[in-house]
Amino acid sequence: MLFHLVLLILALSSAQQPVSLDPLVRQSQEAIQAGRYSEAREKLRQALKHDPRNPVLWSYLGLADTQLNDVDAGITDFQKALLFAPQDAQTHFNLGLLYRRKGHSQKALEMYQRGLGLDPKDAAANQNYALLLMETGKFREAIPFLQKLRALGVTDLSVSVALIESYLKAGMNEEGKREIQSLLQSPTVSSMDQLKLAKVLVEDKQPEAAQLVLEHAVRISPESAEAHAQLGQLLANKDQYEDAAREMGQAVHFSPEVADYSMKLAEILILWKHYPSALEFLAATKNRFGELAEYQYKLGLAYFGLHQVPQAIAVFENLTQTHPEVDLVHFFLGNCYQTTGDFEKAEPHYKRAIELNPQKASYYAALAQMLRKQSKDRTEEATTYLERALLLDPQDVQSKLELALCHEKRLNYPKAQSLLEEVVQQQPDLIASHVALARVYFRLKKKEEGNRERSIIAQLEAEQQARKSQPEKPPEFPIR
Amino acid sequence: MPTMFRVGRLLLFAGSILLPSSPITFREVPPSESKITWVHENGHSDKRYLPETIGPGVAIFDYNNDGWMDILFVNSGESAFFHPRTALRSALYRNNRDGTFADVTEKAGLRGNLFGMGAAIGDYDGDGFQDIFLTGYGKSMLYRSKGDGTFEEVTESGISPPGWSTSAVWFDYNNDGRLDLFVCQFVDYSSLRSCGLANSYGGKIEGIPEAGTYYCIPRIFAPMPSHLYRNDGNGHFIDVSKETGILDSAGKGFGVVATDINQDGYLDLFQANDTVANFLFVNSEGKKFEEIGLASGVGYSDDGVTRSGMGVDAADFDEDGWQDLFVANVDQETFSFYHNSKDEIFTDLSKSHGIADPTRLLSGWGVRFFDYDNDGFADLILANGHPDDLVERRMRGVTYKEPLLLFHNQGDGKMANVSSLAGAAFQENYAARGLAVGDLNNDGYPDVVVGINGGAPLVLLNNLSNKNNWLGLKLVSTIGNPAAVGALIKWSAGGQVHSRLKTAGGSFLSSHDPREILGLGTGGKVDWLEIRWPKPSTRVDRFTDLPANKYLTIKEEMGIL
Repeated sequence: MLFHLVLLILALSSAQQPVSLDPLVRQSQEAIQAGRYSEAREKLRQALKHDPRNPVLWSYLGLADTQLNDVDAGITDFQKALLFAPQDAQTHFNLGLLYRRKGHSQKALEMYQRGLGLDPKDAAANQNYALLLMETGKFREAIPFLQKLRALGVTDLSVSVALIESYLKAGMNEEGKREIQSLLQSPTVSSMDQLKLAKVLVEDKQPEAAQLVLEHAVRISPESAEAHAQLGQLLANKDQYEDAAREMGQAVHFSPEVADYSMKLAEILILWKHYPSALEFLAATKNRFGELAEYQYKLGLAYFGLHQVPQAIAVFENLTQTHPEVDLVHFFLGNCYQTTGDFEKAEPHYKRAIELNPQKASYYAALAQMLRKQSKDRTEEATTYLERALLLDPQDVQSKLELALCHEKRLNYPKAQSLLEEVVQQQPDLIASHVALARVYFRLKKKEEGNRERSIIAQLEAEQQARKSQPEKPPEFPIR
Repeated sequence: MPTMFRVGRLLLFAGSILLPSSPITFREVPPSESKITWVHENGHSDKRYLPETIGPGVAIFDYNNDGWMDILFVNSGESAFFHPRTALRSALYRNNRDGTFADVTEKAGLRGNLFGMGAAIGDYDGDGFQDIFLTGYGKSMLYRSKGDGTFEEVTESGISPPGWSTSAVWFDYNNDGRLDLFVCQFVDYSSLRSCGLANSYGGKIEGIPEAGTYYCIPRIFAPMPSHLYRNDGNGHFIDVSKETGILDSAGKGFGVVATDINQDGYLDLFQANDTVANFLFVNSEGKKFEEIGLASGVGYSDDGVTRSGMGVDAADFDEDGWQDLFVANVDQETFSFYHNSKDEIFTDLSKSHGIADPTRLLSGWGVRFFDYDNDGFADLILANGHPDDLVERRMRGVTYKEPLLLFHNQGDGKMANVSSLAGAAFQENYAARGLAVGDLNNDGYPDVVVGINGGAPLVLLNNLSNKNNWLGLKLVSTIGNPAAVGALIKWSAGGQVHSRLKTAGGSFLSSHDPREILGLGTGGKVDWLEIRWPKPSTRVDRFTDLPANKYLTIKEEMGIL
């Protein structure tokens, strides 16, 4: 953009300068071309003393100041240029650019709007204006400018992506889908481009659109492992594990040597709670990937999921030796030991996980729960950890409930009551919180409130009972 | 000597885990020796009807008043889902006093055919002979002892708990001196439902083939209220479940014990429920029961979730004068060791008192606080086994058959797991269910009988040779209920004072030797003995100069017989 500006200025300058300023202007041009912006600025300032109403010189100076990261000065310079050449579209565009850089979106938009009024066919300006509109949430307004880019011959994939995004975010889903279809059918768009598009859509939180693209990609390139993998990952993110497993399985099938695909498939099977299948798959890929930390980690999770806790412990313990800095491993090892009741072994691993990743609220909550269960004497310590968890995630229901239970254990019933009342508001169907609150009310001799909670508990339990007594549906798919 | 003994006691309290002073052994008595050849028939089928996996119960009592404990085993039988080719029966074994037992079932007239669960023994008509109440699926039966070693079925007693009854307890709820009956109801199993993996105990684990059917987890069935029957004194019972408030609480009752948790002289009831909150029915002057399981802290776990409560018992395990409670749960839940904090509040000390870790992967049924080594402190025994015979398909570390557990009370309520020292039987695994404790050979050391689902029972003789002295008591109330349930016994031996409330019921589907064995430790003899008889009596009897290592019968108003 700025290079474009430079050329324009150079072109203009040669036609406009008076003979007496020529050396200064020429020197400043040379300096700019050579990237010697400080020198150019000096020369231009001197030139402007002689010709202060020269818009070109002001534009030059704006360029130099901008290159020297003095955006405020650059804005002032271009404002001066505009004062003396108000019909110059490019100056408008330059100001738009600089206002955007300063975060003054509204001013930037105005500049682009005015500039495009003067020169509606400037592709770069149209693109920037459209993007600015998108940035400020004006997706519907951005659409005509993106379409104009097409008309101006700009066929870059990024324009299509921006157009798709704008359609979808403006609620014009049909148009968005049509645009996607159109893009996908375009002979100029390679499958690599499609995958890039899908990635962008995912990052842009447009999973439905991304799914359309990927499903198309796997249709036209059924042997593309990457397409299957991306689709599998997207489906897993939507908790559609069966489909995700199928797609990722295809990725593995076509590229069995790619560790990422195999590890992701193992992860999907684990998230899907198909632990035996995960174990089977990991066993089958042991020769290829068995040495990877990621493999060992998934193996541990699969064992843990199957309640094969001693095996899970063995795997995680080994991982802590080979990869002592992985917080998740320590966390799960803590969970394993807590499951077996070996709190003494669990504790250092939880603490190590926290040390390695102090931003994970769930680590503090898990450690705190273990401490509370271990002994009344450790509830104060547990409380400290839970307070940290709540600093990280003030709305976390589990941490609040756990903290309330700690307060209860320490006979601090008013504090427990206050927290539990928040929890039951946040998650009214969590029976355990009502039970704890009822207990606390009774301890505080608040019989009426306690009995009210009892009624709520009875209601929730009856609903739970009714749900669980439904006849089983036969499985809809074979398990093996 | 007494001074050294006191120092020894101090060391006991100050120390960490202490093992009993001498090895203990419960010797398994094989059928070839005991002549107990009865085997439980659980009616196992491919449909896996839930009642199949629940029994049997066991009762130890003196059916013929000869001073020797006999044994009753409860069997399954004809039901809506089980039609045995040959008629099955429960079995009453008379103690021959020489280590053998004789099957006297037929002679005794116990011919009833029902899919039996458990037995509750009590002298409901006050004639001095123990009567039998059998619980079961779809049917229950009351047998009155005729006093001559035979029983007659009482068909018009007024006791008719519907559906599936499990544990029952004879106790005097209104202190009118007569034994009333509380009967636990389990779930509404009228559907006779079989279950697939998803509704099994272990739950569904994706990828595990769903071959056949599994025992259903009780969570999917509707709860049912238990029943209380008041003894009218004329051989008849009145269902007072509604007027006493018992009917207001629908549970899935498996175990029940009658005890006095608030020292008001009225017996309360602690009922373990499977997958719903446990009930603590506090007796309000014999008129009504208020259910305070949730409020008291025994209903749910500390985390606020229900557990699978099965066997229960009550005792003052830390000897602070207040009755504590125990519930056995299923695997992954740990068992509950509730300390009475007074004011009708309980705290689960399972982790700190040595119970949680050994029970983490076990499912407990029969349970009893008893002083196996006669040191004066209540120890604990547990019979375990997973309800799901297919659990090993899905879970490592959890097995269908499980070991028995024996805990030794360290003197402060903390329990040491001494199972590895308890004898060969404790190193084996069983599908154990009911458990009854009683002194089968009258040597003053309590023995144990365990009901095994689908198998031969386990008879374990206490072979302890530590030679702690003891005093056995058979208490007979004349004013209060005949079983003297609710009597508070206090004794001192070697300067150490103990107390014990005579509770009723407890364990799972089972009934214990009604006598009390008081451990005297190494003190040698009883300094004094005090009996506070149950209400409506206000009598307190005190005795000194008592012998050791003997059974005494003490009758209210008459003293030692």
